[in-house]
Amino acid sequence: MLDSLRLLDPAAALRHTAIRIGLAALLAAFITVGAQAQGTTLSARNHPITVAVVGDSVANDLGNGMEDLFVRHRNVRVVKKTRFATGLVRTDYFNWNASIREFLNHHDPDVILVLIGGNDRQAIRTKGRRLDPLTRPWVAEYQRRVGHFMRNIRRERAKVFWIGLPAVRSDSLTHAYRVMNRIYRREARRYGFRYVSIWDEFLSPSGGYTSFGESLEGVKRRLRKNDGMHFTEAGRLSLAAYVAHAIGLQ
Amino acid sequence: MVDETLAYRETKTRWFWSRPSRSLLPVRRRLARPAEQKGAPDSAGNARSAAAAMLIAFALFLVFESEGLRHFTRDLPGNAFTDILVRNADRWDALMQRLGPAQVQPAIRDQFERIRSIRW
Amino acid sequence: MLFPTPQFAIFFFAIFVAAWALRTHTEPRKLLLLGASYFFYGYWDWRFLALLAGSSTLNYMAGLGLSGTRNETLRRRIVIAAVALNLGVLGIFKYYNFFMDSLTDLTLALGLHRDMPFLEIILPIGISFFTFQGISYVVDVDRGHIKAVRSPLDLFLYISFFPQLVAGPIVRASHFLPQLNKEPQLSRTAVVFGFLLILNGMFKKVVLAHYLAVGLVDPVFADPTQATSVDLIGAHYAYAVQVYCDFSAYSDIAIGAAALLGFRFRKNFDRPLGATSLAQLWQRWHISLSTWLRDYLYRALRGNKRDAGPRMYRNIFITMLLGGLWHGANWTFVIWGAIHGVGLGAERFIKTRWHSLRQSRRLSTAGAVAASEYPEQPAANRVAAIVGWLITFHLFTLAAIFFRSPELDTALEFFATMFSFQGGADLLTPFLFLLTAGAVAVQFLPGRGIERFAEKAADWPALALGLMLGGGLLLIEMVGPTGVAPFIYFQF
Repeated sequence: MLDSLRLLDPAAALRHTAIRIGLAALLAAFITVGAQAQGTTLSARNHPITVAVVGDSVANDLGNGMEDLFVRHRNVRVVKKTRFATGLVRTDYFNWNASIREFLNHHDPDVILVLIGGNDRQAIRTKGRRLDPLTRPWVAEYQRRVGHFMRNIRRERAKVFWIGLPAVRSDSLTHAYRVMNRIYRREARRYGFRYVSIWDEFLSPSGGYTSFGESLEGVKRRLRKNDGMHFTEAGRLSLAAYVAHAIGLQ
Repeated sequence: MVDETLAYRETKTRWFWSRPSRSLLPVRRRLARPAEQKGAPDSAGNARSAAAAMLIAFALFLVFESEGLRHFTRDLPGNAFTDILVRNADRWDALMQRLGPAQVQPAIRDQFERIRSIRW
Repeated sequence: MLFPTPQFAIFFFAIFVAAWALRTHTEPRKLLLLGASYFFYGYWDWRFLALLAGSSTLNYMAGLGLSGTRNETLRRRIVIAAVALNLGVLGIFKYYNFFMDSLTDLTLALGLHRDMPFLEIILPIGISFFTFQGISYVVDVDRGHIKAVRSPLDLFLYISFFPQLVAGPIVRASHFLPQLNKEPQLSRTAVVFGFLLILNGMFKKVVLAHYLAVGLVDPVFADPTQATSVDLIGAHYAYAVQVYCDFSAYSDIAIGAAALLGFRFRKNFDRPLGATSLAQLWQRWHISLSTWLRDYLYRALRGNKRDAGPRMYRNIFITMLLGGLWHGANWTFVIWGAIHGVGLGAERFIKTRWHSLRQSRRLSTAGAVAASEYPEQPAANRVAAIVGWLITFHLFTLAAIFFRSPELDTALEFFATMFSFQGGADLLTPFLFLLTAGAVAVQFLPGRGIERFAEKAADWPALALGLMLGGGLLLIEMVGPTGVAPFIYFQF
């Protein structure tokens, strides 16, 4: 329609060209703003990004879910560094601080998702002392270890998101995880990371633990495995989708 | 020699619901040592030997897997007794590191990983 | 507690010493073993001890009820009630949520979005095994194969005996109960045999099954479309070996531990990957389960009529279908069972027709020509065996793709990409290839290798046995992964 008008009136044609250019600029601005509004600095649509998932077996579930979620998405590459039955307490078993830098240097991720701590509700043995879980000295020492780990993963060009622990079937573990999540939130703020809570996402309407929840298909499915902690196939996808949305990747 | 597994001789059709279950019972007669076949085995003596063998196996683990002992003691619930176990396990591991047996595991592991990582 | 852990080693040693110290005191020894078994099970989750005790009580009472009456109608009702209750418990714990999930799939396929009434049920470990043992006890009492036990201690111990409680083998009461009330015996050969089985099981689980899984099978099945054809072909062979090693490893350790305590269990896996027919495969694969299915399911379906017609093939199919479902609450297991059901039926049909054809050819010449003019042809038999092995092995490995796949789509993607014949070996390293090929090759060795070695080593002193046991376990520990993964059968 605009082209046909140009033929009738040169001034009108000039006006219409200006309108066209203006519309195009507006559209470009809209797209840019829209992309920025979806996330912080993430713009997966424009260039490929590497997402590193770091942590224990629950992080492995998150990593697998992210891989499944973005399997057809060429712009998102998911790499995992997950070790089952590890954490920040049992450094005798596996020392995260000793190995994480090499992994991050090798992959140079744009985004780092950390989900760790599920195995940490146990005594910390340090300097010949035993600190029982959730006691004040334990909390202080654990906070120090979390901070140390955060310093090790902090990188200039990577955005780090610390994912909180989910509620689990065991009441005592759930209580411990609530305490630990507060530690992660505090330390994340201190180091400029964003803390992402998944706590409420996997609770029943009454606020208690449930193995079931809404899947990506929009129906009720089993989301947690028989052990009351890890995630099923449907659960991993839900977890990944929630986290991806929270960090602006989807 | 005909390989009895591969040789396919079927004089009559046999199906899994008509064939009797396999049993170790016929083997049991062969399991006894020649002297034992004449009478009951010396169960008490054999049990003592077996227990001694298991203790020797434990001892080997203590010597060559001293790091595993550290992990194991730390897996135990925390109390005054396990604190003592942990301290002693740490001392023992340090001793095995100094004397050398604790170096065997990493050396074997390295060789194994080298084999594992060979590519075509 | 898991088998390959220091906790179990210490636990077993303590029970071993105590049980043999009580060998001449039958009742206290049985109490000790029962206590140990309940401790072992409670270590997983103490909440299920009531279920275990309840299942044992149910089967004990059913046995007593059967022994107290000759009235056929009443006996039938007792058997039906006991079997129904056993299966009901299994059905609720294991399959309720599966059916809800399947209903969800169905409603989604119909374009409806409905939330099903799922229940917060925890699957008790080993429920498939001790339930099947209970059923076999009740039915065997009814059939007159064994007498009902009067002592609840005996029955409770039979159901809960810790070596085979959580992942088999499914031991028959007729085999186990007589051993309970005799003074146990332990020969030197049995000691060596027990140690060797434990070493064999640990090696298969900790080294073979683990490295095949993490190095090849798991990454490939996570996303088959991203793998090369060579890796997919390698992974489907590797998975067959992995599942064999994982399943049979637990049986080996269980049978070895039981042998050390003076109990004889039957072999549960007998070189199944070397089978030359599907029928032979099922005579060698999870023997306690296949014989259970034969004796309690197939015979129930068949009734008293030995039918060689369509009904027989239907019964074979249903038996294998339910055998597949037993393995897990997922349609992929059902498909796996169906493939074996169809395969077995087809194999039987072909062999029956072939056998009839050969018989009729012999009879047609019987007038003047002696049967010896048609001798066995070893070369032809060998070729037939090799062809039979190739077909059977590949049927097994291809069907196992369904067994492994978390859902049908994954299995179909696997097949599609595998048969695209694109790409070289990426994940399949020489090490993994050798593990897979070696494990298959070992299937063709004579089946009594461990027994023969045990006989030879029976004269070894305790020091040598200790070095063998300790050295073997150490080597496995040194090359194995850190941390312990549970056995696949635990989820059943």
